[in-house]
Amino acid sequence: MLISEITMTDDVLGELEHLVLLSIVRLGPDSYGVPIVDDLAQHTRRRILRPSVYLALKRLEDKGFIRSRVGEPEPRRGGRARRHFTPTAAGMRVLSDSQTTLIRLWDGVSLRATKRTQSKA
Amino acid sequence: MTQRRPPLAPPRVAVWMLTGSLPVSEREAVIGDLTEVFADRVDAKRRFNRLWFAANALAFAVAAVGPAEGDRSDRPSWGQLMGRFTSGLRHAVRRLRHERRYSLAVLLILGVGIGPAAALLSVFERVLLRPLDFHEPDRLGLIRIDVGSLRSHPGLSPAEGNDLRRAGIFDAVEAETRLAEASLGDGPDFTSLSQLSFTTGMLPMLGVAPILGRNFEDADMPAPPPPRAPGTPPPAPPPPGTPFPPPPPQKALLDHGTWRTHFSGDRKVLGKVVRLNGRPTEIIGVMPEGFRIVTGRAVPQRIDIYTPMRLNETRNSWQYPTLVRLKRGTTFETAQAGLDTIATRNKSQFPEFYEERVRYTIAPVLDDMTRTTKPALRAAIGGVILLLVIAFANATALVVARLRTREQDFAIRSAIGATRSALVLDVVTESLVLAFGGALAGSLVALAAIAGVREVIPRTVPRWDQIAVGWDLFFYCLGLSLAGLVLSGLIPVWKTSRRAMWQVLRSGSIQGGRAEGTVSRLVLVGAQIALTVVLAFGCVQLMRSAAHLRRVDLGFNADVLTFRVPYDFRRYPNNGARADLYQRIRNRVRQVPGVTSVGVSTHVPLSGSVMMDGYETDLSKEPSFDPYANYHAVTPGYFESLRIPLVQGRDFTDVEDAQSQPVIVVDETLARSAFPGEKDVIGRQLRLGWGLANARIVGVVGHVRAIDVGRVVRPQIYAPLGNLFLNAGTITVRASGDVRQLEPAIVAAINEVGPGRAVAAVSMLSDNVTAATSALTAVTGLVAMLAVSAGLLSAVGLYLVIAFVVHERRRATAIRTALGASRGQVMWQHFKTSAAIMGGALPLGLLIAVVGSSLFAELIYGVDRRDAISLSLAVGVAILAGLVGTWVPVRRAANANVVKLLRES
Repeated sequence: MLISEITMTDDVLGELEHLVLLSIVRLGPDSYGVPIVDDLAQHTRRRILRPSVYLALKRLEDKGFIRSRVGEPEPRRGGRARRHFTPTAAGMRVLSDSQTTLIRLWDGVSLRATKRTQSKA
Repeated sequence: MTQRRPPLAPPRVAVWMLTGSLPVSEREAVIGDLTEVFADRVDAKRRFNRLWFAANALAFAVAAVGPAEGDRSDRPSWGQLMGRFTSGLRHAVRRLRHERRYSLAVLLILGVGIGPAAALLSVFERVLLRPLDFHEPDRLGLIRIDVGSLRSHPGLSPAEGNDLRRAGIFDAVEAETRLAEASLGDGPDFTSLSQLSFTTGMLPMLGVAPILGRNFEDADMPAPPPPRAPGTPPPAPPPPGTPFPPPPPQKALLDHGTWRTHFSGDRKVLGKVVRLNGRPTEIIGVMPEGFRIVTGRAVPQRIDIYTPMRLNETRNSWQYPTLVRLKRGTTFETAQAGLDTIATRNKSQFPEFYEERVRYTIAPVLDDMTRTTKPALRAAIGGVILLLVIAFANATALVVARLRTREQDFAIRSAIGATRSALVLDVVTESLVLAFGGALAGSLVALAAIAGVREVIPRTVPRWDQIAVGWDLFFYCLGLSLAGLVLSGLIPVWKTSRRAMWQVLRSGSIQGGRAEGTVSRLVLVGAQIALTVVLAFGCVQLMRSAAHLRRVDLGFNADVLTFRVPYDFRRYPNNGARADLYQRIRNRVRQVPGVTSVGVSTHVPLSGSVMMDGYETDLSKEPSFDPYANYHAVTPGYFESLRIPLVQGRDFTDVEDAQSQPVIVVDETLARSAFPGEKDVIGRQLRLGWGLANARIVGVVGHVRAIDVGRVVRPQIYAPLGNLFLNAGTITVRASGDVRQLEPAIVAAINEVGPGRAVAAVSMLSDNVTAATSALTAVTGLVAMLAVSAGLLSAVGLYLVIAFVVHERRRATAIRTALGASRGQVMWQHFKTSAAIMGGALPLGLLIAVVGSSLFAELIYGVDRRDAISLSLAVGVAILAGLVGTWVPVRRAANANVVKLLRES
């Protein structure tokens, strides 16, 4: 049962893709690159390379998990427009599947709070 | 009122890198996001913002050319890639340390080639491309006028400024006066200040606000007199000798530096009343630090104090530089069409002012400012490109040679499982280490080059103060270094990695005494020699032009000390009183021991200021602006002090000067053009401009190069001092010894007579001459720097190739020597190779030099564009570079140990 639940969707999210998609959902529709990077940097508390976030956004869009639209040019951006991202239904579904999977896997697991915690998969 | 300054802009090089590396669909969003974060960082006053932007741009560029999207299962993570990269870096550094000669050669080539190139790119970007520090500088324009014989004159009349406002084609039309001298304070301790007035909308148009106090308002100036009804005669002038009424109080804005030095940075300066030129002046504000207003001739200048002005309806006084702001969405071409309409209307409505033609032209302020420096910098950039080609060609030769030596290594690693991307990463990391090292070496050379450029380019060049060392220098070096090594390194290695293993393992054999790639190396170094000829030709042409310019007969001797002496107009209210003042100053200065001759003039040569008006030989006609001449008012002694030769007739006398008799002295150019064929023009009469009466010619003097050193510009008319309105006179002093030693005594003598204002400026006339030839001197220095670098690089390139060829032929050389060949014969054998390269390269270089001579034709003076002597000298420089590069390896080959060579081979 667990295996069939894991294979509810054929697409697998990489770790960074997962984080980026989750950040878009947290920030709400029409978020864009700048707050996504800031949100990830704040919550993961590790060095996030900006290009890797944009590559992840591109991969998510190619997979159909997010869609984008181009906004209005803004003087503060040198007259350039923002690209806003919104999760699609497929993206919400894959995120929900991922949440379900993680909750089930974590069920019954408790870890002592240490400086570094390593999980053994 | 808070200061509104345009935000600091991201570095252009980084933006270009992103534009070039990102896919079109992502470009705008990524660059826009980085720009937004950059703006946030600037607002938060964080540091190293441009460095942050450049680092992120580099990261995006690397990511864009990184591993392609492919099979997800075997794509390494960023962490793994970074780990491999770091490990590769360590191995690359170790390998390069082991092969010091190769590494140092590449670093030297990159440093010598990139350093000057980066310095000039930095100068180019800062002087020509960097936006002005005003609000939306792309929408600011300067208006110039063609009227009569005036061409492209940077000043409109106040009435024309009002015409532009009424036409409504611009968002703002603001004008300023010419620079003037002012005296701050009363009593014997005057302070001389530079003063400028501008209209009340100037600062809002520029997007600048005072840091203390406020901008000017219309209420700060006295109301203009009501317009006269048509047919009403003008009011009668007051009787002679009537004292001027006391001037009304005025408002002023202080420059930041003036506030600090003369008012101790006191914030209570607002509301303080000082005496400026004897006029009560209330300080209402202080300008931001570093504020420079764009004056006529579009040169930003620091002015000490600003006062307000209003545009009136005077139409024939073209002395007011006028700046405009385009409406949003309007182009300069559309604005030009609007100006053409205004010109047509003015010509029909005011024919008395615009007899023959009038045309207004508009150009972006930055373009207008850099119009004189653009040709010089373009020529220098052309030289930079040539130098970079030479440097990259050398680097290519070295990298290709090195890759050949590593091919077997790659083949073996490939055989035991290394992937193509691993081999490519190996070469990339080595190239990056060399690029970074080359960037550091180039930065050191660039630092010295920037210091040299600042010395060579005089301060009169617009935006000279922008030339400075900054982080952009290092990024130019890094960018150029990377570009060079990508071109020279990655392309060959990509080809190499695609060859079959067996071909590589077999390719170590030498065929017929020449290893693979020798021909391409010879061609590359030949190209370098050819380009050295081109650069050397340019350098020789410019040096000879500069030498010719220095020998031009200016028409005067510049070993004269000049003192600009303004006067208090309330004490000397008319021309007669002013002439009397300057006569007394002249007579008193003549008494200073050591002084041999003294004169006074309204304008000295090459001072940048001039009075122009028309003249007529037909006394019944009013002078128009065609023909027109430069007007000077002088005292007796002026011609003598400047050693301007008197060709016919005589100088003015004191009697004429005091009684203002209508006599003039003209120069040879006017005598020839106004009275063609007449040998003696003494006694002839001219109808003059500037409100002067018809005057009789009493003397003819030599033409003086008063505007442009390189050519005759306009005829000159000299009137006695009392005849012409005087803003301020310039005292010209010649002494028997070093006249500069007499400066304190002369200033004391002037103050003794008491003109009522401080001596405004003291300078040697020879400084004016130096400034006038500055552009040519500047570009000569720049091109010389490039030519020396090119020669050095060519010598290095030839050295490398000849050394390689000598090494490849070592077996043959050893056999020849063993069979009895002499040292000379061995050396000649190798010199023949060098001679063959030069034989092919020199004609090519000459051809390119001849064809490309038009690139810097505007800068050449006194030398034919394709001068044979310059071409010969250029060839000589290239031959010298070739000989230097050939001598060392050839001599080493001749002195090599034959037995050792035979054993090794």
